[in-house]
Amino acid sequence: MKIKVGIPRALYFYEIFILWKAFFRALRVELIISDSTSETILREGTKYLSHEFCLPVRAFIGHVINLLEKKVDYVFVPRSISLEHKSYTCPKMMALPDIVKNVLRNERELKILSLNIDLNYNRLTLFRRYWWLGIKLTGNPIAALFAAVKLLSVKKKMDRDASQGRTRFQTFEKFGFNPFEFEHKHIGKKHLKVGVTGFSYILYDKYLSHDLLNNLGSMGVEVVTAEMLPLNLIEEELKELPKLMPWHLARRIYGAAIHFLKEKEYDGLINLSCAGCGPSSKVDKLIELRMKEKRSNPLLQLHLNSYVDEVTLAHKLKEFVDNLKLKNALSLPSNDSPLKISARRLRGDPR
Amino acid sequence: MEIKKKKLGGFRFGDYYIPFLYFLGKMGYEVIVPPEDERSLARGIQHSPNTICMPFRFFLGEYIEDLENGAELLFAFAGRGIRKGKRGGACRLDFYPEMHRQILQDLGYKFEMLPFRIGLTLWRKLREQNSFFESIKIIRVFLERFMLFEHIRDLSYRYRPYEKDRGAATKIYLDLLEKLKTQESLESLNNLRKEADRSYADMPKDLARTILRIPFIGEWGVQNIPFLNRRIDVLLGELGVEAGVTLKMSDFFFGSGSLLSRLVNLIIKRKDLRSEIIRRAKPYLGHYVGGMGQETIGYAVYLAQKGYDGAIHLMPATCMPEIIAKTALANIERDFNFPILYITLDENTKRDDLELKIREFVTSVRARKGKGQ
Repeated sequence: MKIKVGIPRALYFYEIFILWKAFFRALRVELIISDSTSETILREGTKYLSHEFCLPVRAFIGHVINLLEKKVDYVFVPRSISLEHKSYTCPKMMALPDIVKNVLRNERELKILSLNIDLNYNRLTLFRRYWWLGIKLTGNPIAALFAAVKLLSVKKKMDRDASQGRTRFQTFEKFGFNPFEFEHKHIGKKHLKVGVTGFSYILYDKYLSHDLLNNLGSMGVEVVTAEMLPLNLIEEELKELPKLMPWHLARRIYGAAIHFLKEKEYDGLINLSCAGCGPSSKVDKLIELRMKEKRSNPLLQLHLNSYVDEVTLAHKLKEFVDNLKLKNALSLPSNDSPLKISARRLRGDPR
Repeated sequence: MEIKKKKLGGFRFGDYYIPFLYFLGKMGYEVIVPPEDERSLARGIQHSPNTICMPFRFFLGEYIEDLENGAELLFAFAGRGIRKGKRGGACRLDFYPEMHRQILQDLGYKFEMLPFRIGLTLWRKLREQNSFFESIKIIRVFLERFMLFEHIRDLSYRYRPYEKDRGAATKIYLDLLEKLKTQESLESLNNLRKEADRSYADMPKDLARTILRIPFIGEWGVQNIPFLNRRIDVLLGELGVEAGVTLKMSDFFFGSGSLLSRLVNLIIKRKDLRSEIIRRAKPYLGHYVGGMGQETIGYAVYLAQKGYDGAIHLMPATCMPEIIAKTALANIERDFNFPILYITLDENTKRDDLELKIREFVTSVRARKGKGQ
């Protein structure tokens, strides 16, 4: 009978699932992924974790419980310390297995599969750790060796794609992975091109983001996210920062946000942040400061918490998009507000 | 000809600024000490992101006060950078100086940051103003002043619950601090230490009282800055409780386990508990998570095992490592039958509410232990 390993559809699932898929497939275990985030899942998670924890982490616990209900043998909860050299993830990711064990210790039959993912160490260490995990799970060192090698080879392909200017989306498509429940291809007529930034595990989760990306698409907006930009572009923008932020996803958001604010090809930027998120509080402020400094495109800061409802969010979005459309139609230079229109312009005079 | 001294501002950090006054003065700066009051906090809040923790906002407010008083340089705790696995800046503290700098520059202030990190830059700056031997002596005196300040504070915590006249322990504390400000030699510091021990020994005490021992655990900023914790350390003393700080600034500076810090620990005769604490934290939190999450948990276990009566967990709102620690603390309470009071501090916390919570907690701990009043 095959061993069943459950992977929660949350947090770094949205970043490196293709690595885990390759690894566990090579080990011949049955991979079970939790259901899409839903009200039930979030509610279960919030039962165990206070509201001080950010939405994605609460959702994660809910996903773990969902997997337990599916009767998996193990739940895979890695300790993600760093996913990129010279960076950190965030304290909660670094404590994830401990958090799960502490809050769920009395509740269910919980068996956790874990390893330390820390790319501040070299690749050999990463290899060793996955290999050891494979041995612990299957008791077969040869199979584990091959599985770890397979994982590293997929990682190498990911990194090479990134350095060659491909976007993450393109890489994921190559591996047949579309966790992003949104159609990012150009469908329908698009009047506006807007950059959207936010943590990938919120932005691409339909429930947590209140389906932000699809909503924008249906309003006639072409959406570009940080994961749709080539890596070197983001790195360029980061050179502006005198001291580099240690959190690598926050860096990506900041670099992409600056790009979307600067470049004329974009009509605006929407930045989605979440209550309880430490790195967000920095990035949001830095984006704000940067906006004041130089000429930049319009910005909409959206802040998610447990009490924000879909209606308010949709309303804010619509308002912002309508303003952008108005601006476009009147061909105004970017920092003017639509109210400062001169009579001449209303007549249609382009000056 | 008098060389104009550069004005250096910084955050006060409770009364910890006193040992620093000496050291920074010897580096040739004129130090500006900000007042610790509601105004600094309000100004800091005005210009900080909403979801950032209170210590950040408070420090920003103090910086603004300094700059308004003419500071040209600002002193900041520099981070330890990104390291493999062990320690580093996953908590936001590491990035604070950069955030502070950007916000203050955006507000139009002109200044430079002086990062305070134990290392060569600091040594060189010291040497600009002093000879080699003088510099060594200055460092030695600074270390002694630093530890003496903590000793005086510990004494006040230890004896306050016994004081016969309310406010006596505090008065002795303040007098000693005033004297500390002017001591500049090892000999005079030694004398002051003896005087401190004597003053507290001579203070009229009621030894019949049963004292509870309930130290603080949690984020080190709110543990050490009485303004931020609304002076509940004094309140505890008045309720017959020996308060205490588990994460002192000496742990922050001299507790890293590096060769240099071990040398310093030998000189100042400080016992470094870090490895013992982390060992106790491992079953509940197996890895460094930033800030002092592991230390909080480790200390909770340590205090429970050493027979303390309880602990008070202090944290500023939104502090991530402490939010994580809380999930484990609930289990430690159960596993060790050890009572913990959880207090989250932000600018809206009222002293009255805190007082109520603490009184209730102390009463219930007394009842549990079967100790009378």
